[in-house]
Amino acid sequence: MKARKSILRGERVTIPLLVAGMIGALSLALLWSPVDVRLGIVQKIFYFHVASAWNAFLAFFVVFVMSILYLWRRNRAFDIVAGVSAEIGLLFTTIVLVTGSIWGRSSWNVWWSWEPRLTTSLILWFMYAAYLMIRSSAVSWEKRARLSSVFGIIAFVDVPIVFMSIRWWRSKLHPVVFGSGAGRSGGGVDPRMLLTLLFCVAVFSLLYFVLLNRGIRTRKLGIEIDTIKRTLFERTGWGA
Amino acid sequence: MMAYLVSAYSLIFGFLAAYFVWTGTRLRRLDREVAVIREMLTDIDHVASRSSPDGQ
Repeated sequence: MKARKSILRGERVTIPLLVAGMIGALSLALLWSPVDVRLGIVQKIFYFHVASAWNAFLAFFVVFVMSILYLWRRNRAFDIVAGVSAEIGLLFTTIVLVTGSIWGRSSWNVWWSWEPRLTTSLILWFMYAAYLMIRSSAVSWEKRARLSSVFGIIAFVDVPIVFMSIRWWRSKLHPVVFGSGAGRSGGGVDPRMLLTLLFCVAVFSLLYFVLLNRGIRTRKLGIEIDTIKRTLFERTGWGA
Repeated sequence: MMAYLVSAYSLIFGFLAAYFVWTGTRLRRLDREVAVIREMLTDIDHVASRSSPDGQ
């Protein structure tokens, strides 16, 4: 009897690439990038904290675009991608909040502060948690997809607010590190730190696409199982 | 300082590894389930064709 091929065989290239990337990112962050003079070694949280935030924004942008496309085309594939992307985005937002809290405890001596960036990020987390709750509601998939698409578009409004919050409300705790002009308050980034950050962002982005691909295949298999079970029921009457 | 860094890194890679393993496990389980149900469907078709008046 011939053995069935693993469904994960398609990841034979991406998984080693991802593992090598993660090892590279950790090496750059811990060994190669310099220790921040003011914040000390704890600043090294920054690389994965920012990379996670970037991925959360990317994931929610995908939800936003796919929600618009679903409402326009009514194609279930767009709804599937939106749902999977929201789940991954919520995971990365959780990482951002948790690591931010640890960094805050070390730098500001508090676990949490109701300053603009933290507050808007927490709102973002709640919005996408609500989005996933809508997706798990027991209504027909068309209705659920329509509702969640509308909510996915509305929830995305918070993403630029999170990004711009420290510029608009002049946060005292969160410095503006990137960009130029009067708003900048963080003193810029060392070129080695910037390169490390860009590498971490690239590796985390690859992880996002691997997870997105897995999620889409999982949802499609779930739909296929439902369809086959319905066919089985129609032919045999099992499950009546 | 070091304890905060280690905690943060452990949480980041712990969360990601757990989610990564969970998605892989779920995908493999569903793939197996689809294969089993498809086989069942084929068997039913086979039995139905044999028991029908036109069958062998």
